[in-house]
Amino acid sequence: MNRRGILLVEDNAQDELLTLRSLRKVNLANAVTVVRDGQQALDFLFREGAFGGVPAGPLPAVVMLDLGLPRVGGLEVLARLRSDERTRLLPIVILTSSDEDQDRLRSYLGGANSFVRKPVDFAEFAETVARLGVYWMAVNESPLDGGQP
Amino acid sequence: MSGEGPRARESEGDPASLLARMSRLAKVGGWSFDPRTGEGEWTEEVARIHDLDPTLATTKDLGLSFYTPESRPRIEQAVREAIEAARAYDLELELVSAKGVRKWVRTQGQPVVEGGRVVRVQGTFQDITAQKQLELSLRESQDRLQLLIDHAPAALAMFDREMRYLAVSRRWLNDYGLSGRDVLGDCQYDLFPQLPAAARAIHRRALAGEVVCTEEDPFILADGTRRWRRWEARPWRDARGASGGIVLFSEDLTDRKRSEAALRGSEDRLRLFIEHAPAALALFDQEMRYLAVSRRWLSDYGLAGREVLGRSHYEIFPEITEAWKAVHRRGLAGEVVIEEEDQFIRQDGSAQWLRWEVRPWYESEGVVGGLVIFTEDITARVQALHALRESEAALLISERLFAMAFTQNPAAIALTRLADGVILDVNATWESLSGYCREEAVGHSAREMRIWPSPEASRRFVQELTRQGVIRDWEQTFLRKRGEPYVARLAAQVLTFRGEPHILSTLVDITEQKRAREEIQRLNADLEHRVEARTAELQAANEELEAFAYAVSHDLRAPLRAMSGFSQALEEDFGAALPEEARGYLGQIMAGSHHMGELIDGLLALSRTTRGDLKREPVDLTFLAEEVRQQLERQEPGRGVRWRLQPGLRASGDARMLRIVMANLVGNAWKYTGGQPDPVIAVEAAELDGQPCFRVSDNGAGFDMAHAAKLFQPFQRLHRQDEFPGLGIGLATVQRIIHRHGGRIAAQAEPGHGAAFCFSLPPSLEETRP
Repeated sequence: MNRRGILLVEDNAQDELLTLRSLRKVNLANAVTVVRDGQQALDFLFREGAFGGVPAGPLPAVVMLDLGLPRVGGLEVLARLRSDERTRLLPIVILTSSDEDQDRLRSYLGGANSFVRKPVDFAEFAETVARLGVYWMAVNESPLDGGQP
Repeated sequence: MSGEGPRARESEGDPASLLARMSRLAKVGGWSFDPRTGEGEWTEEVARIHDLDPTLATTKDLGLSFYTPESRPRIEQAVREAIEAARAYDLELELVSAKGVRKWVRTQGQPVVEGGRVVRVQGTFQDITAQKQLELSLRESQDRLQLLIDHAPAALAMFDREMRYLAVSRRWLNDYGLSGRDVLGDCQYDLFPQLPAAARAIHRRALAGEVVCTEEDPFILADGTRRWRRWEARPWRDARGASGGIVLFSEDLTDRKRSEAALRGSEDRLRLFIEHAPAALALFDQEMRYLAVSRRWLSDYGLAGREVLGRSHYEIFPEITEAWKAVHRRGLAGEVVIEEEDQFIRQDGSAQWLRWEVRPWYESEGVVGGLVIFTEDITARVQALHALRESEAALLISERLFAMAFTQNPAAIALTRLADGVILDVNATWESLSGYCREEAVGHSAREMRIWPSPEASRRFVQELTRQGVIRDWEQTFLRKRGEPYVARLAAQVLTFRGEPHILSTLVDITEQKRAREEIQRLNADLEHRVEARTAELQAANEELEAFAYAVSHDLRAPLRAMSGFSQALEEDFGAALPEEARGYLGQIMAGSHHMGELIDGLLALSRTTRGDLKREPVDLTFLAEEVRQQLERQEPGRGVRWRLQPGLRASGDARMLRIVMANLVGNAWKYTGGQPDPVIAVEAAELDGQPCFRVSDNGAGFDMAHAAKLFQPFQRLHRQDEFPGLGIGLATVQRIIHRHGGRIAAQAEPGHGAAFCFSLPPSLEETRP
């Protein structure tokens, strides 16, 4: 199990609840940090703004990023993370209600590692989120693992 | 002479008187004188001759004084020589008698020598005037004869019996190569030793009294040249009737013979010339018999290979017309008949044009020997000429037409001199357009009349015209006579007229047209503006719709997920605590939210078909159908559907959208054959109203065509949910996609007997271009 956590960027409280419930089913709920908009996500990752005083820790194993976010949008967050040396290789999964081709294409072009649509059907949704969590936390070897002191 | 008187009175019986009588009869006188004293005496006869008194005495000087100035020196010299040298004399002299009568006398003088000196000179004296006159007239007549012979225009010679020349004409001398020689007295046989014996025989026959003529006798000249002559020998007789010799007359035939030979040669040449003349030419005698004929004539008249010489033209052409015969008669009568252009109808009915000439030829002065007929087939030339005349006539007509086209042209036309812009001519339309009448315009320059709005405009036009030689569609504002502007479309061309460059310009008044065009442009601009505005509005609406669709896809789903999610969480976490009925309600919430999720997806798909660019690319519809089939069979295996997918169905369109089309149509077929024991689904090429199309058909439930109008409207369904579940969005989406591709879609169905959907996908405009 990766000692790094999951950063969930989700503005919809119900989706947050359902996501956390799904992750809890696979025992990953404790590793999850939730921020509710893009700015918060950036502040958290770069320890800026509200997170300026929080001591620096390891980057999360994966960022689950919604696209339709208040303040700074998901694609903007993706671009800022990929343009920064520190987060250039950070695994980012786009988790969104949109199944627009444009969104998918832009996400991959922006450097997203995965694009996953949130199914309307809850059972499907729960399963998808659970698999994602397990994959990124347990299966995948992050490019950042070896390089972190 | 004074001694004669007494003697004259002597009696007739004595000898002296006899002598006197005799001397009187003989008309001979005697005289003597003494050289020392000059005293002399003469007989009566001498005195009579001098018309002096015989009784008077005489002296030497008296005797000498009667002689004429011509005779006197001769007699004085003879007397002096007789006295000094004792020389006798005999002279014929002329004297003028005392009565003034001129007389010829013969005087003979004899010196008498005694003691070595001349003591007396004596002699006879005779009147010879009559004798002398006879002699003179004879000589004159001889001279005249000689002159006559000399200058006779024929070769003529007179010979004596020994063939010695007595007289000869110059022509003879010339003909026999004797010019410049004095041949009188010479013998002909000495001059021409080779004279043939035959000639000598003829001479002898003539000397014997015969007249002999020869024809064409060859004769060798003294210089050896050979000549031909005709000659005649006839005898002449003297006064006594005795044969005196012969006269030869000859005529040189050499030249005539030569010219005859030359004539014969030239006749041959003429015949040859005629034969090979590059024209139809024939020579006829008076009886119209062929004397010579050209090959061209023979071929022209179908006589090639036939012998016509010597045969009559009328015998060869028995059918010859009376008109021709009349022409021949006129020619034979001496007339030259020429026809420059004469039409004949050949036996085969075709028309032939001839130029012909009938000319008499003359045997000798004034005697027509026959005809020369010349004919030339000028059919081709005449036809060409007629064509030319026709074209000339056409030209004349076209000139008139052009003149009419000029004067009555609906366009204004002006002819202007390039150098100074002076107008040479204008037509009626120009007059009405410009407001100037022709008389006001012709002879004046456009500049002077202020037709151009500015000198620069005129200069620019002339510059451009000079550079290009021709100008078309030049739009120019001009001023009418009253200063009112009008716009004309101007076409102009530089052409040389009377050796000077001129401008031929044509003006069409386009003032109205231009106004209308400007109006159209203004309206167009307005329209475009409005279209732009409307498009912007539409764009805004579209963007709004897109934003709406995006919002729907994002934001409508989240609450649905919450409803469905928490319903499921409730069931999972607290299901055991809930009564059976509550769990049933939870199930309805979940089913409703699921259905709504599908509706939202369908709506999104429908909206997406009208958004975004339509890409054109080659699409394999068979492949798309196959994809759908595999997906359907994965989702719902074991249906046992028989597929008939025609391979290689190619279309041009947006692959993503056409995938939606195939998914819907094939998906429908799959769905509606659900109750069919032997389901068949076909995708193939077909025709729709004569145009190629694609058809997706099944043998499923079908539908009632009475409701076909609702088929493609969104959310309209022809089946109940409990029969065949569905959203009523699929066919609406399909129709939109087909319409966006410029195609058509139509359905054909019967309840219980399946349905067929035909759609066309015409190639884009770009693709239809070669």
